[in-house]
Amino acid sequence: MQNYSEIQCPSCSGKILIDAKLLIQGGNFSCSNQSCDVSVSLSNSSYQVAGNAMREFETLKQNHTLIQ
Amino acid sequence: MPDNNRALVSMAQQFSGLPIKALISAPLLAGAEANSKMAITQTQFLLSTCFNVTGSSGSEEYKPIMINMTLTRSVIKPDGSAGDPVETKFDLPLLTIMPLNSLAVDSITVNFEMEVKSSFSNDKETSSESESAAEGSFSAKVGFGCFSAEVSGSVSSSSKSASSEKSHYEKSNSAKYEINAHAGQLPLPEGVTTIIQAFSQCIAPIQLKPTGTTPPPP
Ligand SMILES: [Zn+2]
Repeated sequence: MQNYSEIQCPSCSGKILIDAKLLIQGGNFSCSNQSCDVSVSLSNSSYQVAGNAMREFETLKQNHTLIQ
Repeated sequence: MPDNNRALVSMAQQFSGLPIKALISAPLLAGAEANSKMAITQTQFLLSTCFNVTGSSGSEEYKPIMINMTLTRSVIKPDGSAGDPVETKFDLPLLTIMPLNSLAVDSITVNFEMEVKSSFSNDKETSSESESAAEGSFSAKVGFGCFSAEVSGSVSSSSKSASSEKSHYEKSNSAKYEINAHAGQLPLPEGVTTIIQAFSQCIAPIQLKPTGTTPPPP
């Protein structure tokens, strides 16, 4: 099951795979391009909004497990 | 003689009455239904959590909620030594980091196994035994003038016969019917993928200026 999202590297247009769960815990994600040294993380100002969304997403997931 | 012509259970007949369609399709439909429910719930979640809604009912305007990301890039000084990493801020739609397509019925496996076994065996054993015995004796006296004779004797006989017959007959047939149905997860609909791609491709890094500096004239 895919638990990560993919964004385009703003520097080299390569792939950056982001695990939202780790992102809201302060995770740092590097560009998959070996020659690109870019890494991305969540800015302090966005922890709350991303955290809330992830919590809601987890609730949704929980309900889905109940459906099954 | 054993009845060798006795018929075994007809395999085809055993399977013909089965509601195969229902047996296979019911779990698949349940999975599809769960997926459909999830798709609706995900859309509602997407619109309510990842978008800000403005405007009145019927003419709502959905604006994606943006989150701020920090991009860190290492710096190498002209002398080859490592400098302080440069941080750049950029905005990203919240929608792009949500692992939406991970919510779906991943796999449905219907394992239906039916086994019909039929067997028949016949054992027959016959045996017969007879015994007979006979015994007799006789004595006779004959005389002729002054001559007389006496004869006596005995006779006995016995007979024994045995016969046995044993037969074993067996026939069997079996059939197995196994169905394996699998439904995998479909990727996100093309439309949603395109929206997410468009959002994530429009990431324009914004270089933050130190506070108090005036922008250079155009
Ligand atoms: Zn890159």
